[in-house]
Amino acid sequence: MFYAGIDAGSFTTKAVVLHNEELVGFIVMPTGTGGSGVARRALEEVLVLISGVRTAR
Amino acid sequence: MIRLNGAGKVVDFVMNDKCAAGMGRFLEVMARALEVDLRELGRLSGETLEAASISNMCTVFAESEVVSLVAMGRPREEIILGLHESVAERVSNMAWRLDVEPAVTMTGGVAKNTGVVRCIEARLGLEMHIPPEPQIIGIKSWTAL
Repeated sequence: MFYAGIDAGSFTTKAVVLHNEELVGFIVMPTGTGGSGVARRALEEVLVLISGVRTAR
Repeated sequence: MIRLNGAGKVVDFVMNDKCAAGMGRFLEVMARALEVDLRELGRLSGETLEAASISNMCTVFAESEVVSLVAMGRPREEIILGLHESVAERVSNMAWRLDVEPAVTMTGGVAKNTGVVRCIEARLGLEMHIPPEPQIIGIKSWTAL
């Protein structure tokens, strides 16, 4: 089973993807001023990183 | 800084009460002032044993201090070691307040700076556990739950 987690911090936003508790990919990006958009973007970027497939927007 | 009991429950914690002092942002600003890559700070500070004295805790004032030291011809390695010592001093004072004892784990981006890690370990007289990816350890643990 795959799980994704997002840590929306004030300065950086992190997204991780685990497969059976094993880390398969992560990304750390500046939160900036984009509000919740950055969380979506972090998740999208980390999915690109692990699969090369973009999520539907 | 969080103190846990044997069952992994939070017993006590202290937070940095001196603005950006001692935070990763402090080191980011200083790296930029020294025109050094943030990731190089640890390695560079390991090349000297002589630490420049940094007396300002405030990130803005400490930045001017760093610029002055550069202008006076102080080697950047010594300035960086001084910055690491200043961060480590603040962090270890917080650790004493929590009666720090092994095992100690350091998380967050600053844990990737081997220079800061060395300075804190020397002050506390113990070795810290550094997770492989200290920036994402919090969210990784929560996602695994």
